[in-house]
Amino acid sequence: MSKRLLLLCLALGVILLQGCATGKSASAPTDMAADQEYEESYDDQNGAYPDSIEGFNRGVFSFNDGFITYVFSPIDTVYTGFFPPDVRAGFGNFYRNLGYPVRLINALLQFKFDKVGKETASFALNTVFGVGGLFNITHNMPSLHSSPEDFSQTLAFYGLGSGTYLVLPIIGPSTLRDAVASVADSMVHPLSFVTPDSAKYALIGHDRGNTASANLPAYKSIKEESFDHYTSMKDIYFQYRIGLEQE
Amino acid sequence: MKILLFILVLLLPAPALSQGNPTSYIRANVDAVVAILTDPELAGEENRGEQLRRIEAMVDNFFDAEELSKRALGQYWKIFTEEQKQEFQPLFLKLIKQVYLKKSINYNDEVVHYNQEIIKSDTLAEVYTTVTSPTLNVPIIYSMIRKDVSWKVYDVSVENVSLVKNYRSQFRSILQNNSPDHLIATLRDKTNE
Repeated sequence: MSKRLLLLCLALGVILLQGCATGKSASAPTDMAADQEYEESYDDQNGAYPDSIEGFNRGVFSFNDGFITYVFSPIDTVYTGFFPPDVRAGFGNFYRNLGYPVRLINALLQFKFDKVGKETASFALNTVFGVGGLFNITHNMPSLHSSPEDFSQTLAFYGLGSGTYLVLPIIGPSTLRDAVASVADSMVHPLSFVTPDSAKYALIGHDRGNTASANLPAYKSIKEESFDHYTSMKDIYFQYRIGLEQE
Repeated sequence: MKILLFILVLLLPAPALSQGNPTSYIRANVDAVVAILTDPELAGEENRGEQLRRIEAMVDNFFDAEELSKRALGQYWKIFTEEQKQEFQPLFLKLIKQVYLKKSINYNDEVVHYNQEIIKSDTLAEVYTTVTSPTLNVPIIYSMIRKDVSWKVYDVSVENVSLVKNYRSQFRSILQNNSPDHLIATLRDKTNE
């Protein structure tokens, strides 16, 4: 009986303390919390993102923009007219499923064993029941979703900084670390083992083109909604990559 | 004992007693917008204008204009005069609404899942959602603030990319070489397009 009483007292004590704590912050000016976060929210990247070769990058960026507008977009119109959305999504699923070894190795290198499990289960289910990965049957299984790991995130995990922002011709936004790491990733990607070379490059080209086609509407709306297209894309790239690193 | 209980009730966290929580606020708003978009009476190209007007009215109170502006301008907020701030806020709100409207008009039977709600303090919260279409799952986070009774949105992050942070980067690069008035003029042009 006395034990129960003690427990009750403890529970009441905890509730009381909580009440006091919340009561206290409630009485503080409402603006304080907002102000504090607003200070934080602009301090975090006050120095902006590293871009030591901005002149070069801007040059390549406007070349790429011209390429997208005058070369890629017309080709994309033909491509999307020829293949219906479902088929293009199927291509995307297939290539994503094929990239499993890259994600697996990098999840292992970062000791992210929950991701190893999720990736492996998704790969097995989509390969077996999704006709070799053409159908993404794990799409409706939120418990199997995980953000993709790559070698650049592995390098970040071990403390390597991103290096400067780098806009690559045709390929687009990257950083020094991302560019080098993507070469390493491509060496363990199953597509790199395809022979002959002509077939290998055709498949890699199709993978890239199909992904770019899926991203084209987003690219166009970013361009439309921005004041400074170059800065907007750079910011989106860094925010997205940092988000991936943290997951 | 009764007195003790009475005191305990008084000490309950205030948000638990106040009306509406962040998630229900987002849910009500999203549901209302989806209802307009799927309304059979408003189907077809000729009703597009009416549809847009109704959604616009719906999202009018969805965002907190001052908070959006403060955060998008960051350290530059302080160099804006009171007049410039008053001019900037409605223009920026208009821009954000336009961006939001354009996204919702592309609605294609997506389903919104409400995953998590993080109450950061009495006045700040985050609502984590996933928008699921037949081919994609897009994580969207609504950052919210409560200044009076109701919660309002001050930032939306899609795939970890914050809309407000993105505009902050751009405004910073503009304001490094230009005056606030120049930015306001640019913003006015942009929203009148």
